[in-house]
Amino acid sequence: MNSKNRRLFLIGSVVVVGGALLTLVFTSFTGALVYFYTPTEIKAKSSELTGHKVRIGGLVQEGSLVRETGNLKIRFLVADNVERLPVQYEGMTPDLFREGQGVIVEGTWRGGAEPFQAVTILAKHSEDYVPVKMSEEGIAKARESMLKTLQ
Amino acid sequence: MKFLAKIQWPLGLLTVLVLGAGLWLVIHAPADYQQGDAVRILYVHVPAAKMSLLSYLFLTVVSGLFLWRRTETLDILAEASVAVGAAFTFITLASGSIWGKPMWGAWWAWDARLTSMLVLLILFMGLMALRNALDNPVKAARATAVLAIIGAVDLPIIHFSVVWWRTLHQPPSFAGASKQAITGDLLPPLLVMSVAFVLLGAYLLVLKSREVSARRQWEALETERLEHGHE
Amino acid sequence: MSEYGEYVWGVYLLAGVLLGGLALMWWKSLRRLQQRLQAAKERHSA
Repeated sequence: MNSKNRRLFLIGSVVVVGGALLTLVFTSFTGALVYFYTPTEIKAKSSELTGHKVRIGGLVQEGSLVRETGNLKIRFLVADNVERLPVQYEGMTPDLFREGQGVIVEGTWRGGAEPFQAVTILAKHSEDYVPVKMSEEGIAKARESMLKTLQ
Repeated sequence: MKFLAKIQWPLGLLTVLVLGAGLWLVIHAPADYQQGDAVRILYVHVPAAKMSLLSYLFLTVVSGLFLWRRTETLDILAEASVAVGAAFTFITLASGSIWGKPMWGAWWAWDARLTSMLVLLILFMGLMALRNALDNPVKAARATAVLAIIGAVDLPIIHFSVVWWRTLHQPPSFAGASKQAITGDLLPPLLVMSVAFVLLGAYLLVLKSREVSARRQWEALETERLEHGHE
Repeated sequence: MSEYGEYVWGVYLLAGVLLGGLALMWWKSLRRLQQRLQAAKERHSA
């Protein structure tokens, strides 16, 4: 490398590293790092978020999941401790997407009068790891910690 | 460096033994009730993540000591820990991504944990680039030490990201004695693999430090020869 | 490993190749440098 290239490389690397660090530190203080809203929050902020792309996270309400026959359309409720929100989605779901498990749905918020139309579904895993043999108590524990993260 | 040369072989042997035991446990561990066999990915992912942070922590300490004492050995350890740390950080991101695809349904998400970990990789790469870009080795040593210390702000952000902000990434499974979220036979492979990765990291650090030291000696010899001409 | 076999193998293969490859590369480089340094020392004392 000649000296001019070296200098460009030097300035480039410092700018990239500095930029990445600064962005991270500043977004840390703005709340932009919160990855999703809970159903309670989205209902409270409904009017200001209308028309915006949002992520909403919660538990897939037990017994609420309906799969249509003949296509990939599904309907379910996303719930936190207080609120529940009807969601529609069409497509493949991740393997951890199950009733009673955590989920994050992405889409445009339309005010909540109609079911939320999800474009993407992400399954959220809790921090609990339980062997197959002892699932019974494990399931209860996993649900508890998932609800805790949603507070 | 003589000390490092002495401990390299025993350290390597110990690493192989513990890593072998860890892999045996990984193969014989039961599947997770939710993740099935994909839980086995976490026996690489979690220890690699711990080693990424530990490498940067080590780098911060030796960089600080170097700026204070100006001993070349400290700078050699810093250069080596950047290389080792970058490798572990890359494995953390790649293994997390491969776990995320079937489990979350996405290779990547810009949540706080994943983003701050990517920044750590950028930091390691930047430190390598910076050292490479400066001709004067003394200046290069000082500049990388300063940048490494500034970059250390990323460490608490990575560690606490899953607690401070709501993320897609799950919160820590260990939180002191009060909380223990990994149950039964899933725990031993994680513990043994963590120990194995610490040993592996130490071995790689020793090896790379000796390599860096030898390279610097050789380069010094070359410069000397060029300055004085051939005999 | 029926379920997710390819993902699991992929991770272990990647980690093994990367870490093993780095160790091998650094080890070879160290040996080569040591040989050169040794040769230079002998030339110097001769």
